[in-house]
Amino acid sequence: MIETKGLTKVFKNVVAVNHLDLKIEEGDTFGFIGPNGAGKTTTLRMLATLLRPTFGDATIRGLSITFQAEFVRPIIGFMPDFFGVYGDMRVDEYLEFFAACYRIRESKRRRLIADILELTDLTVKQDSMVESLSRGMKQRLALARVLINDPKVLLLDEPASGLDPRARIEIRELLRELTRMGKTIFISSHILSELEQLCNRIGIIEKGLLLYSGKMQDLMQKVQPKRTLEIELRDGADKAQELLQNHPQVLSVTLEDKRLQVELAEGTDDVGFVARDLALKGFSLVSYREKLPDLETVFMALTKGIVA
Amino acid sequence: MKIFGPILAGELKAVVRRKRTFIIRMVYIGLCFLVVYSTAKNLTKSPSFMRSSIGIIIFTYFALTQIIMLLMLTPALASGSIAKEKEEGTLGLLFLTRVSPREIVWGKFSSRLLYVALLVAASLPLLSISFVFGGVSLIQLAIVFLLTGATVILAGAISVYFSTLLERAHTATIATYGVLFFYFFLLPVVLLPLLFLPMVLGLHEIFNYINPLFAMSAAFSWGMGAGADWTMWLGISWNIAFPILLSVLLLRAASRRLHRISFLEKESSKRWGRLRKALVPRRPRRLFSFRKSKAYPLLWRETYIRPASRFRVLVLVAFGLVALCEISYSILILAYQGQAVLDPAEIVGTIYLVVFCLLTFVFTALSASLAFVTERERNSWEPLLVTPVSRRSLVWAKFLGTAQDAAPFLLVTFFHLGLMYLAQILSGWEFVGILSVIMATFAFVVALGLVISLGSKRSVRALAAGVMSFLGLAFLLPWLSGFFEQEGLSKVLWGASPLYWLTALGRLDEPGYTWIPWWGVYLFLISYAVAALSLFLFAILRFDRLATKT
Repeated sequence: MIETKGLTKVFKNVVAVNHLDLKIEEGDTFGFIGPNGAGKTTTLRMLATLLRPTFGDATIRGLSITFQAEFVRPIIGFMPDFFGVYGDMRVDEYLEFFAACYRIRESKRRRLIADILELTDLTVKQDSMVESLSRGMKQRLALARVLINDPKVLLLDEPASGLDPRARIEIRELLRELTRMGKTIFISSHILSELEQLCNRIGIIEKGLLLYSGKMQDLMQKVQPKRTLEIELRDGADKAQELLQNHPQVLSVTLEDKRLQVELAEGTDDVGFVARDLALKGFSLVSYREKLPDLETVFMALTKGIVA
Repeated sequence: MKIFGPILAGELKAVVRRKRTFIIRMVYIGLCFLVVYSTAKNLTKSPSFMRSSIGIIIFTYFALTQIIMLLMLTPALASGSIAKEKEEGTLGLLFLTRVSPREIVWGKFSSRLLYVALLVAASLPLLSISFVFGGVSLIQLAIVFLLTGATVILAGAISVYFSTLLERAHTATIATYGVLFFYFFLLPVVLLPLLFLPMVLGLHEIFNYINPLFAMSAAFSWGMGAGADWTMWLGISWNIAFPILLSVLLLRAASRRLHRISFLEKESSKRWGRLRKALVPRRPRRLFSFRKSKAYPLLWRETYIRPASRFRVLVLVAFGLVALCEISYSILILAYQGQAVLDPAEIVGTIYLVVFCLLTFVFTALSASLAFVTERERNSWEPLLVTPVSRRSLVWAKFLGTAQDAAPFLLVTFFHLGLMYLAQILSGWEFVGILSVIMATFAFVVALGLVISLGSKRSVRALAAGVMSFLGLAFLLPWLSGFFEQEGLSKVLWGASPLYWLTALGRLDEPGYTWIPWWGVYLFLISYAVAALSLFLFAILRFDRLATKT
């Protein structure tokens, strides 16, 4: 669906994006993360055909962003990291304006706009002036605008930036709905917990270089190859610690607040043996779970905060 | 070509909804009415005028007011059309739709032009007054409207072109006004000495072709009994055809440029960049050094960092203009040296002086009125306010920044004044008098601009208020004097205008030439100096109240 090959952008002496190779399949929700100035917006603007790559190329549905920009544009929807709305229009007029710009026939426009307003929960605001909308509403309107030409690929640059928690959750739900509709979404964000819940694939960029691209689970494993268990017992936690420390597949056991942190040896696939052993020795388990690193931990582990 | 697409429809909706649209229409009609009313009132009072002459004079005043107002209005309406989309980031979103760059350019242009046409249509009932008195032929009416139309089209096309070329709306507005000012006002001024050269050379005929305003004045003089020769018809035809042709070419260039931006064929012109670098150094030399001052960081930014790119453009414009003017002026001085009767060197010299002063003051007003408001727009205002830099230092730094911006024009004015003194057109005390008038007006304009800028939230509004305040003072006051029958009040209104003193000071020694006593100049200087000082004090004392106004 989206494929970049050696995509590079140089601004004077600064390499903003350095030989970026990405592959995103149809229906994927791809989260693109990186520190400020890492090259996320530059990549998105290149994919949106609004910035010409210095070297390399990218294709969207097999169409080159450099040589077939006029064919790429109708199949993408781009939402920049600023509002990009006309304050002196009404919400429905704003959408109608862009519908007309996309040459959507007048007979179809009304129905389409009504559907999009409903999808984005803006029906009650359709007669309001754009400038009177809250930040969250404006962001939803921008998303509604992106959907007006029914694009197959959505390029979203920081869609939840500066929004309050409620507006963020609403945008996230909207994006989930779009994923269910089969759209391919390329989203950059600083709010890593959002991406964690939304994306099935992730890309981490720093100083213009792609540090990782692939499935979220693979990334977790890459960052934390040794699995860790968190076990809470009703009583006898210190005895359980002694017991587990002697197990050949256990590397270390620490006790914190009656909870055991059990680090397993690399390559351990079966994590159930600890529970079995504890149950056989008569320990009563309150909780038992594998401790996974969150995206923030992964991000901090992979990046160094260097700007291009 | 599809120009009546969504861009035009969207623009028309938005334009009609703006409060500004209504205000502009009311002010426009109001001013047209004032001109027609005052002219008719003055003429009908005088028994010596024939009814037919009254008709043509009202028509002339109306047509000239209309074209000048439209020339001022069209750039204000059109020059931000595309640049504003760039500023707000919506142009890229339009590129992603199926709307072509040509459609964007023509849509924006035609929407603004339709609005101007609406203004013209709204003022038509006022024009009918001149037909009540008679004396205006339909051909003259057609000529005037065709010339006005061609002028507005050209102004609109230049506006849209700069809007495409430049990144900021107010830069595009300033550039458009600059070009229009040159075409309609400075070009005739530069060529003015040609009028005084011997007629046999036929060089004065060039004025028929310079711009539509001159062609229009030829049509008026024809209506007042002057003969219509082929040069007049050729001049009129040229001034209708040339602006339209130029407009089409400009709009085509704008579409091409937008197409290039849209498809990223060329991001920036390296050739022009290299030329610009070669012409002037990257940073201008500092005019002031304030390393020991408490406000040093701010002064350093104001006088050294901020004007880096703008300064070199101004230097080029100011000195290019003076070079053009002074060459022809020097020829005139040499040609007429020693001739006592109505010395053309004195007339042209005074006109040049007024023009240079006008340029200096308008530019000073422009720079001063943007001084604080741009900080507010860039969100650098509040961080600056919480620093330990005192309010007095802030005002002082902005004053010097403005002075540095205006310095090229001031120097050009002083140079011309010096030339007039050396050519013995001005005596020593006339020279000092004019210099004092210039400095007092300059201080007043800076102070007024800074106060306006301090209390404004939008740069475009501050800019309009600053420039209009000065123009009002210079032109509106003398014009208003016509409405008052008391001689004393008329004199006060005339005497308050710096333009009066700039033109009259050279003649104070000629008995009976000026109609305001010689001590009027002292009154002018004292009142302007006091007003400037009061405004500076007001800016410093009320700084926090004005600066934190929400």
